[in-house]
Amino acid sequence: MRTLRGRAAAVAVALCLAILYLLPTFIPVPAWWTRVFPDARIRLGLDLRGGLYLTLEVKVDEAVAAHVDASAETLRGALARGGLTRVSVLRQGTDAIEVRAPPDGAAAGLRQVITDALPDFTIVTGASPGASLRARLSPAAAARIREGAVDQALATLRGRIDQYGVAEPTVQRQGAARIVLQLPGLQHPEEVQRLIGTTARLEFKDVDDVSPLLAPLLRNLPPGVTVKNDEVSVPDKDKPLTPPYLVSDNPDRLRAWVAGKVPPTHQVLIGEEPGPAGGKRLYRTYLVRSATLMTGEGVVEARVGFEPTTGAPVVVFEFDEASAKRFADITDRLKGHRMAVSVDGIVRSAPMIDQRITGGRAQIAGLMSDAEARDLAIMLRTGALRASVAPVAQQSVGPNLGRDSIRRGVLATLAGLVVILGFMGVYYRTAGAFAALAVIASLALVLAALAAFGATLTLPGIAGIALTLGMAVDANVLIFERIREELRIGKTFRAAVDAGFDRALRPIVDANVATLLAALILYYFGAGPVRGFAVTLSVGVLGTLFTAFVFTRLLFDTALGSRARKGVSIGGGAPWS
Amino acid sequence: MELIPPGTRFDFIGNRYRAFLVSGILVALALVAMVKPGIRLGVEFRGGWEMEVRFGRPVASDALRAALGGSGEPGLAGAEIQQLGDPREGTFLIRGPGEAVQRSRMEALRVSTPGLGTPVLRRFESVGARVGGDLLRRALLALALAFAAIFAYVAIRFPWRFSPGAVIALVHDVLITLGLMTLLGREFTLPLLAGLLTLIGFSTNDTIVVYDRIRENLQRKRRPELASLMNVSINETLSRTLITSGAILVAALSLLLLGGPVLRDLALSLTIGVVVGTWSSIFVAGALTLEIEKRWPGRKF
Repeated sequence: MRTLRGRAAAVAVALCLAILYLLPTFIPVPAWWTRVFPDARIRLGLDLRGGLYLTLEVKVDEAVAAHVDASAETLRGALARGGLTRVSVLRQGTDAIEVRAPPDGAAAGLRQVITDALPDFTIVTGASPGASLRARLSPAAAARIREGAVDQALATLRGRIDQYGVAEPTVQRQGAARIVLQLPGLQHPEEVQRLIGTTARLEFKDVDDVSPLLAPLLRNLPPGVTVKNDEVSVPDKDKPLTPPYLVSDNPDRLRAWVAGKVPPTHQVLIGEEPGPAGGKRLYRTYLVRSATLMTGEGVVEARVGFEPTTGAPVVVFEFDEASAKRFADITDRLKGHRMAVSVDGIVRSAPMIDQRITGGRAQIAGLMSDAEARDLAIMLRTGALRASVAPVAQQSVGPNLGRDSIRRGVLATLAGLVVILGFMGVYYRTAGAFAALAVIASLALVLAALAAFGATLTLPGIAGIALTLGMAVDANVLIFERIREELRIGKTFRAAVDAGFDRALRPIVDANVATLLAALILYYFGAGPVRGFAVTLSVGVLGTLFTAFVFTRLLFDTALGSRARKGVSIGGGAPWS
Repeated sequence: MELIPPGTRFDFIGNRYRAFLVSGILVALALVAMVKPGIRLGVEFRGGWEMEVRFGRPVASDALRAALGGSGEPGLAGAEIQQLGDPREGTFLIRGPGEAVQRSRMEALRVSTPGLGTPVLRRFESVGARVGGDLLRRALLALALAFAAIFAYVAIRFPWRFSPGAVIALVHDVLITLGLMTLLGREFTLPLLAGLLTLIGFSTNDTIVVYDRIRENLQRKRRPELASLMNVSINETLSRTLITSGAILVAALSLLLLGGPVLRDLALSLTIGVVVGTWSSIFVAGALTLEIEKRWPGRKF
């Protein structure tokens, strides 16, 4: 590689490779091209091609609370088996369970039951029998659940976006609990709203139609809220139950009214109330027991079906074996009660359970459009989010702005380039022309590297390239100034070139490493388009070092080696200028 | 052609106190500007929403403001309006506090501006306040880390006493650039941050080239006292400093003039930064190192 010919070959190979990698980006290539050569293209960032950039936050505490709820349910089962039926078990905050036993001392062995049933909890208060006990989820377990919730949200969203069909989506994690979605070509966040905004958490709950808690809800109703009565025929009983419920055209009004009016053992859920066709949508309440009997976790298949009598869309789903058995047990226990089927806290239907349901099939009915049913089926298949996600930041760029930006960015870069290279030619003569070739070569290498690594070019990235060119010029200026100095102290041209390149190496490397440090820090901390700037700047630094010390040097050596030439004009009053 | 003839000996070091005075005044002005009128954070750091729309025909800012003000749309009535680019295209930046939904904002805009043409959405951004705060912390951390990294790098590659001068010069560049941007009514945005970090890279570039020459001249057998050695080194590299800074200035100016509104903050901060950074590399970094050496002499240099 020390020989001139060897170096020339290396540079030629590098430049040919660069051209191979660049061609598909700039001209349409025939189909056979991609079979023979790499199919690399410079990918444009969302700010240049247009698209939607969404930052979502995963509400990780919900996953912790859900785990604590499930643990509380496990504990209730264990207590019932141990004959401790009068003990109440409730979640406190997100990560604790309160266990309250009656004061008559029936709580013997309570601690042991808790420790056995809840291995990832520690008992934090309550020493004497009769007092309430508090068990807290260990921080390590909570951290594991949070982490798992984010990973699961990432995988689930990826699945949903893929099934929905967006071209080249990017779904990335950012920091502890955020997810960044990049959806090229999309303009309106509403298009994917349902896919990301729906947790698709399917829950089954026990409707309490005979509770004394119902009565206080009905007194002194605010305007816009009315009372109606269900008619629930219970098997083995002659008269149907007629539990009251509230109706309004505004679900928030219902929520505000019931807030704080039921103890934590119960919950008021909202569902839709069939109204007159074409009229306003109406909403109603259901009083349910808080404990979630089951979730949609065991769902293995979901598809859209139709109600035979009405033709309304329903989502039919199947459980896996273990969940099917659990579902059978639960329905067995619930005989004579209604079971609320809710999706994300909205009750879809509340059928009366008149027998043990085996076979592991169920369906969600209730006031769905075909599109809604299709999306819900996708989401039940890909799984519920363990914690809901909410958009915390969004950016959308229209395709026109992107096109404008490309045009302007390229124009600005070229204009700067022409002025700078023109100056180099005038100021450094032939050597300046070498530098101009080197700068153009370094531009080609940087673009080729972007294509080869599949990096994304953003508008700040174009700015990074423009600035890189300034640095490529700087490297050549440092070398040429040094050569001029060496010529001035009377060295031969060859010796001056050798000394110039040698002595300029150290400041150029030092200076570029410093720039590289700043670029890497920017990459690490920057988000979105600014990262693209850091990428082009970093690649540019490396390209600059290569072209200045290999390419420009080669041009000098070739010029000096070809004929019996003694020098190359470099301006500045030196000999050969 | 020679920009700076060989043998030029401007007395940069001798005039360092005058240079310190100029720099001091500029830094003081910048600090005042940061307090009043005060740094305004961009939407990505502060949280809020902004949208860029184009009517495709000339629309007066006042007409749009009146239409939105009288619209009774709660989000739009108090929104801030700014015309962008060519007035014939009727492009506006509309912004307000809080989070917003893109579709409802566009619908509200369409409803409230019936006589002004059909607005086309070019860009929409909505950032929650907490995300903005996180991003700001990351931005400040990035700046602090960049300073620390350069301090460490200079300390490793040069006598470590060179580091404070280099880093103080950088802080000087960043403060003055930020102050001037604030005075020009620009906000602290991500592109401005990118500009500041690039400026740190380039200004370090310049300072390191001067330091490198000082380092080289220090190794000579017969060397003059430090002050004049520094002055010689600055003069010897002056031609390169000016040509390179000029080249970067040309690149930054062409981004500023031709790059359009999206690149404006980045380009403007670089344009200012190149000038300030060149000044500090010539007048501040070396001179500070000399002051440090005079007050707390080191054993070896």
